[in-house]
Amino acid sequence: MMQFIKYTIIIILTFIFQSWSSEFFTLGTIDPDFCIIVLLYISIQNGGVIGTLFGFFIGLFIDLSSGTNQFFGLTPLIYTTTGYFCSYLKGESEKLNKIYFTSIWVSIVLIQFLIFSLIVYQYLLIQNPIHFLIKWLATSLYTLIFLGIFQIMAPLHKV
Amino acid sequence: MRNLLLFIIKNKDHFVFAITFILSISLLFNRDNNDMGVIRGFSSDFISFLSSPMVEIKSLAIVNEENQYLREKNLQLNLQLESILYAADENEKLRELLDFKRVTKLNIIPARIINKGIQTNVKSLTIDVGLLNNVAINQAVLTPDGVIGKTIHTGEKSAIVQSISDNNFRLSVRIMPSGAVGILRWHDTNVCKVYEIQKNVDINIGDRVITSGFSKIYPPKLPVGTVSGVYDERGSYQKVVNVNIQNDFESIQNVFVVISQ
Repeated sequence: MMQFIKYTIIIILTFIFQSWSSEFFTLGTIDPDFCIIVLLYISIQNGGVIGTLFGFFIGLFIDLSSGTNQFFGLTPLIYTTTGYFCSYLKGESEKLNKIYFTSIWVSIVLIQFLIFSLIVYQYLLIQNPIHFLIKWLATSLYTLIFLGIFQIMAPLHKV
Repeated sequence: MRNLLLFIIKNKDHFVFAITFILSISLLFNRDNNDMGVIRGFSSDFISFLSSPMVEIKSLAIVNEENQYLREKNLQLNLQLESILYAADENEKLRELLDFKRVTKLNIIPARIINKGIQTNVKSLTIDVGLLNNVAINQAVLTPDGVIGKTIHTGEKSAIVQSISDNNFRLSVRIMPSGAVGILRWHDTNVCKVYEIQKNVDINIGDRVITSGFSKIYPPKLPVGTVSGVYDERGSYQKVVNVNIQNDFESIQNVFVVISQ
């Protein structure tokens, strides 16, 4: 029960931080995704069940708040998958090379953003693939920059 | 059954993932469902409650910005309004002048007052017409409301006018309908006194005062003012008449100079 309350509070706090701060950090049409950063830490620290459920519920919150009906359910799907795959890194920091370990979670983040962009910006992919590529890389790299800053304070391999 | 339970517990990560994945997919495919709309409706209240502090902060920031903008706009509009009112007032006065120029038979030229009281010992006005406009010394200066002075110095493009409010200014006037003639001099704010009027002349308050025509400077029958008071001078055979000058010297901007009669 305590676990449930704890993660519910984290979900709400993450959601509030995301909705409050994204506008502050926005660069044109690119916003940082703080939810994925928290999801990464939670999944690697607590494993599959909590990571997957956390991803599902935070994604649900995001979609409920977004107001658009077009891709409702996509964010929980993406975050669930990310949480699930990231949970495989739990306890692997000891066994894996630090570079491998980092490359894996960076790849997961990049793929997560790629899938999201492929679905949401599919029209852009058809009309202007270069623009799509820029959009995907800019969104992912902007979030990765924040993740990089967090690595200085609390590295993922030490979680 | 026990084995199945153990299998599920052992692979709970995968099972949780499978359930949430299927749930997400079903949400994605049932997004247009009416029930989903109801759930989203309920959730929007909760989401808006969570987002409300930020909205408040944002709106406060906008209010400050908006307030600043509105202050600036208000100042701009005030200035604009002032200039419009000024223009309307000027327009009205210029129309009056235009009407006067049409009606009068005198040879007059319009002039604008560009300065007031440039000389310390004389109450004077500076106008923007001079020798180039055929303005000479000792020419009458007037407005549709009446005489306001005479030219005392002329430059090429400007002239100085001795105002009726100067202490040394004298004007020969006639009080109508009695026809009594006297000498007018300034007394106080927009009030002049007419001296040397015989005691037996019948003068009433409200009588018109016009120029007598005895002077070479001022043509006859130019309006000067109206009688506001009459009293006898003690030990004298004359009476003194108070005259209200129609012109407001503080607000005059445009005048006429009588070039020739």
